Amino acid sequence: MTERPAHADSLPPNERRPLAARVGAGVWGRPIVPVVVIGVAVVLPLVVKSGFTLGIFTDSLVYVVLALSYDLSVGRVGALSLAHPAFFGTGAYAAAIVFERYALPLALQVLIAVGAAVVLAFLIGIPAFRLAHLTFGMATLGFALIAELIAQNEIGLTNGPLCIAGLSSLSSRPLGSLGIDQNGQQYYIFLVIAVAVAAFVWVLVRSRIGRAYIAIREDEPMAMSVGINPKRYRMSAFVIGAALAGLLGAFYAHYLSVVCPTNLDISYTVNLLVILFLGGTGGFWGIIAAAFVFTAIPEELQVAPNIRLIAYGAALLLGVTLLPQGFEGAAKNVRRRLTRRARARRA
Amino acid sequence: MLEVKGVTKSFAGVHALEDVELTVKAGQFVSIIGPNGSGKTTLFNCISGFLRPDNGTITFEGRPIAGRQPFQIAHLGLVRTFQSVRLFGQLTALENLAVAVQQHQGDSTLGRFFRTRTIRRHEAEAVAHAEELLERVNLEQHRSTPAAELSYGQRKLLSIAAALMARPKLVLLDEPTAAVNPTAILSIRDILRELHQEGQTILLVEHNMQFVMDLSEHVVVLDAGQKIAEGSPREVREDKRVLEAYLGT
Repeated sequence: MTERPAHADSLPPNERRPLAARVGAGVWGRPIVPVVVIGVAVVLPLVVKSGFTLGIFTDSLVYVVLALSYDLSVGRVGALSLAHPAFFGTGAYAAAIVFERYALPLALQVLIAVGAAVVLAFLIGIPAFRLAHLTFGMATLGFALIAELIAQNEIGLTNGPLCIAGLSSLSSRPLGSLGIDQNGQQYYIFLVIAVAVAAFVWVLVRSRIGRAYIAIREDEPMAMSVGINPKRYRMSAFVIGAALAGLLGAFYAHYLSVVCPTNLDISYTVNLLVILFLGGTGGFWGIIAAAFVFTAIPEELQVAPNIRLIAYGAALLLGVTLLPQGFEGAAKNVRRRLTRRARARRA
Repeated sequence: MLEVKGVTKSFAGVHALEDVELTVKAGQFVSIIGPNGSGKTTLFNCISGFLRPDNGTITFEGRPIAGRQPFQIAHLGLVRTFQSVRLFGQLTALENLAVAVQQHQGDSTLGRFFRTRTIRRHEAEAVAHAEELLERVNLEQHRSTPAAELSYGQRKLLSIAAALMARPKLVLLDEPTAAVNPTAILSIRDILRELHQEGQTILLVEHNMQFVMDLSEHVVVLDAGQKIAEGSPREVREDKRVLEAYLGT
């Protein structure tokens, strides 16, 4: 970024970046990391020929979006919601239902999916945010279970356990004309969504809104005494996260071309919590890395589902004891130690 | 500017405050003193919106504020600090101040997200103001240090600066010298004196008598939830009831 606060040049170099990146100008920070990551992601389908493996990467991208949107609530404002899959599933169902009944175009389906997820987020959030920390989590869990029960039992609306099948599958004609097959097209569509959502979250958490989120998480009374309304900001993080999950759900419905009650399942929450806590709540790159690791590795190794849950539990326990701040915190510690050593050597 | 009338607050039958009156005029430096458990902090919490008084009225610039939410009261220009320092530990000193101002500029939410030109100007102003305040409390060299890594005295100073960020009309300081070393107490005293000379209205709750007597124009004495005396520092020091309350004779 060319724009910099005027005082930046008078500072020692190690103090320049965090300030420029976190207060005032320079929202984007150093562009090297995102450019490399996106670059690798773009050329990936040229290297990975197996449709199965590429599918795993597509699933990982889905988890990147789910985890980053979930973290707005869990990591940024410290509200441990357990209802995130309900928003994802509601988005998927909303898109599927309006597609099946009215054959609306995808753009409208997405809008309706986002709207449905937002309405549900308010319906859950307004009563649940009256409760304190753990009871808030329990209340959201209750609502998430109710949402799944509705999907199972409102057969007139959702077909129940028979699922809504036969949705048009996700594809892109322009990408097809470049000679990219169906798997590749779907991968690129989710890559675009993931990059867009990640960029949105990145800008959001670096704006003043993001700073207010941190203030509420770190010390609520202090946040109130400087004029921040904690309820409003907490609700906004919850609703924005729900909207992003709903948007993703609409695309996901067409990706699988079928929507089932399992799309609202609590098992998503377990996976997402593993990703957030091992990636580092309130982080960014750590969460993205964890989303890949914990989607790709179990799939690639073809672990049996019941063993997978045990392995997840073990990984979570090890993670929270050995890396209490997740991948991201561990990486930061290493970096801090290295700079300290470098400084000591210079002195 | 601030008027407290007949404020009563009980906790499970214990009268923490009984019919307390208090007036702070614009530009005044008023202190509240009293032995432990006399209701000083309870009164502070009632004024700043963290507690709702059972009875009585609190008006700030003519507006009733009793029972309003703390953030609403902060918006009106009445900002407090806390006895035990509260800061956002993961944010740097400068960011702690930047957070403190953001709610007072009336920017739209969308604007905040897209960082419009106005927002960027406001942020630049806020950063400039924050730097000024950091210099004031002698923390300019710690601007990029996370608050959690500062010493206790430094954090205390930073929390005072954070309260000043919003350019409050009235600032409530809850025991700024508690658990602070003597040198830091002197620098806090000088900073507060300077602020008052510039016209800042200040309401202070304090244990340290020397500190109170050095700074205040007007002192209110609480004991067991009741106001037992008020007046200039000298008048209060010579008041029989005050001596009784403190010495227990």
